[in-house]
Amino acid sequence: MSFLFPYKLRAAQSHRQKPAPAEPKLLGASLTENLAYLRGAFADTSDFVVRRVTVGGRECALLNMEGLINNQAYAQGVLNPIMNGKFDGLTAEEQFERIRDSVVALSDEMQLNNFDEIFGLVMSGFAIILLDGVPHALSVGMQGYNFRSVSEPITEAMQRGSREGFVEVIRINLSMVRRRMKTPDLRFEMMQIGTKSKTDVALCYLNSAVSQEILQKVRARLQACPLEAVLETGYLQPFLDDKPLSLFTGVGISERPDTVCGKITEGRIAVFVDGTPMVLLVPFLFVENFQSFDDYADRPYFAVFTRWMKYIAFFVATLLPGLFVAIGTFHPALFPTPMLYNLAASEASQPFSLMLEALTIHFIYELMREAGLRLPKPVGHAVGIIGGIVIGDAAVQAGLIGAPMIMVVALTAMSSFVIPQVYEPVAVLRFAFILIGGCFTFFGLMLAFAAVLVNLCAIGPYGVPFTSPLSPLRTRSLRDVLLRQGWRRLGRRSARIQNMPGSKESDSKS
Amino acid sequence: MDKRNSISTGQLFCLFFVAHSTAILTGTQLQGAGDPQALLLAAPFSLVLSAICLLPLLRLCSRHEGMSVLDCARFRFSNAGGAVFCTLYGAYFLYTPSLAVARYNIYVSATMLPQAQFFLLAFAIAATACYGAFLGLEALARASGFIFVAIAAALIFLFCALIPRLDLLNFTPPDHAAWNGAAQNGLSVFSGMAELALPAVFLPFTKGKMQGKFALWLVGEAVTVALIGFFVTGVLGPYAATQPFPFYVASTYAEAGSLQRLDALYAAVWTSGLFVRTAAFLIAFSLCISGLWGEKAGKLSLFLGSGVIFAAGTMLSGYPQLLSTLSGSASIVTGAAFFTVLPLVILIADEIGSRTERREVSA
Repeated sequence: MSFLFPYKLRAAQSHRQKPAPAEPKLLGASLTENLAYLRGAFADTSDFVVRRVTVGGRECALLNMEGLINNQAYAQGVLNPIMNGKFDGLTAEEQFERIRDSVVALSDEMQLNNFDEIFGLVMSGFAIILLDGVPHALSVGMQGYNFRSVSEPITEAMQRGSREGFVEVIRINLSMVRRRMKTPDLRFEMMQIGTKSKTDVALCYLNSAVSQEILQKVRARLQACPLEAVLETGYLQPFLDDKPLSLFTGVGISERPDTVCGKITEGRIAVFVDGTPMVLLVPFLFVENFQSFDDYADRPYFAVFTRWMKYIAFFVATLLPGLFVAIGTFHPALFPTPMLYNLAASEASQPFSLMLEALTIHFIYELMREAGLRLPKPVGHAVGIIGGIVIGDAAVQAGLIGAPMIMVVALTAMSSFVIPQVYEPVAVLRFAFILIGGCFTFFGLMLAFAAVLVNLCAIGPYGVPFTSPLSPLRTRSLRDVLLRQGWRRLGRRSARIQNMPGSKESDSKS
Repeated sequence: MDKRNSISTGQLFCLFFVAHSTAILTGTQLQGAGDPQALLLAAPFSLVLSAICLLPLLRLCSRHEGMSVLDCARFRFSNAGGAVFCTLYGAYFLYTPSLAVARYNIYVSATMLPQAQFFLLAFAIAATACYGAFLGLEALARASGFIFVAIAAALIFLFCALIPRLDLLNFTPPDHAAWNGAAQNGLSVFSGMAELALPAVFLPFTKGKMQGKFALWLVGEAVTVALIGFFVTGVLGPYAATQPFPFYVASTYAEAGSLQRLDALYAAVWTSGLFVRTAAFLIAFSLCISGLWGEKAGKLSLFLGSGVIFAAGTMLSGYPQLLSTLSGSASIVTGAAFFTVLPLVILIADEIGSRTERREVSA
């Protein structure tokens, strides 16, 4: 029955073979030759800095990339101690050991033997020390590049809980997780992805909670990633997704350390990518799109209330315009009589059909949203105000758009803001449902919705049904889906993602 | 067939219930010009009949665990004999959704959308069902879970909204005509229960104990039919006998506050149920084709099957009389053949074959 799963990319990904990596070139004993090789590799690069000094009568070279190191620390921790050190009467090897063990006594240092290691570290903010007559190099951690400080996450603002969000530097992000999970069970697996960018990527998981099969799959998919550059989590997401062509994704995103910690406690794997504050979470379930960290900080009854509000908002944001168009166009008798009169009065003065009206106004709304998103904040606000006035008032006054349609758009827009994690599929589905409702009536709309539902149910990230634990159903797991039980009950038994009903990677750890 | 044991029995019977909801809502049509209470009395009759008729199939599957009826046929009648069964079942799995699509077309054009184009509706159903079938039994069964909840909620809401419209004077002690009608209507409900043929191919894909869930499904169906019969009788009375879609007509009377036309709910239920039914039968059809010509052919047959359903559904919509015959007495015959007779033939052959084998071993 393999034909029942039509997406081919997964197979293509898993079968893609990477060429065997070439053997790294080893350092030689001659400083001149080593520098010549490095200069050849960094030809025409203005930020590659080589400082040559004589130490104890022997040539020495200090390498770094401009802007990536802390100059003050470099001068005080490396340059001055080496320049002022006493190395008389020592052989080259003894001199190297003296520098390594006594002169430059910093915590983050490493002995290197090949050029690939030098390339990797010098471009990560390390200073490299090369000594003539020694076939090794010494790297010293001197990172001093500028980065955004830890601040409140913009996409996941919370009323309660931590104000910390991830930043662009992977090491800082990992430290934020480590600070919250003080257990040796927490593992970080580093790897580099991108044949050119060599981006640091870290897998983060709790060894006792994670499914080894899922971990193996995630690792294999990332290692098979053939990209030249990985500049954002979005580059890796399709490689982690089981069905990248589906509207919904089985890969979650978060920029909150507390959310990530909560997810890895349930057996998920977090994928950190250097250069972005967003973290990928796999496997991710559909119901998680309706959960937020505030749910676990609020009182249970209020968390249940907001959660149900989000479920309803999903249906409103997806279906309302399509339903309105379908019923208004083909089955107006289904509206309550007073509403039907109002609608008829409003539509009598409109030049366009309901479907065209809905498409136009939703398109304008998406335009405004996109403009407000990309423009600087003050200008974005202005766009919002102008759009509000134009659409809310002028369009109705001019007789272009009916007032009921404005209500529908407003309600739809507000609802879609409540569930930002599924904004993309909801926005696309909304347009599709308007078209279907306008062309194929209420019946077509129901059929399309059923098709979307099956599409949703066909997703199974890493063998875990995307719609679990709703379907396949496990009533015990619903305590954090349809309800949000109090911590006294919720904390009794930790749920593992691989043990969700219908999962193919089930284990007995939970 | 690498997806065996992929769905639970609960999901399977949920899928059957959702798929059959289409037939329940439309098939609960009063047969003959009798007492509408016959619909109510037909429920236990159809329940007993369904349970008895499914016994050979269940017995066969319990004798050969992990094998479908078609596998059993191939096992006992060689490949050629198995191919005959595959062809017969394949044809039935296209015939049933074609009838359902045609009835849907007639319902839509007769009730909510007189200007509806038959071919457009049939195309929409066939295309979406083809997509649903393409995504597989597992996905369809999971989706059925959601649709089941929606259907149950919609029906409960409808029933609650109909309570004020019930006229108790419509309930009288059942007379001879009512009991006679019960048998006739029970047969009609039974024949509309085409899902009884689906376990023949779907059972190997399920895991878990079956008897309890199976009984729950049949009882659930009977209770739903009884409730529909109860509300049709209570709301419409003798007027029900003149209606081709009595429950739809009853639902048009339903009101809940400012919501004055709850028949939209009825339409939504029927549409989603029809989608599941068509997709489920398409998957069953593709399994038959897979048994004949391999998995690739099975995959391609989804397109062929949906094309046939589209064409046959559109064509039958134009001949309501023929459709009525096919949905009536003809479907009782086909139903009995595919639910009972064919599995029974294989079961007898299996019994004879295994006795012969045992005799040979002992000799």
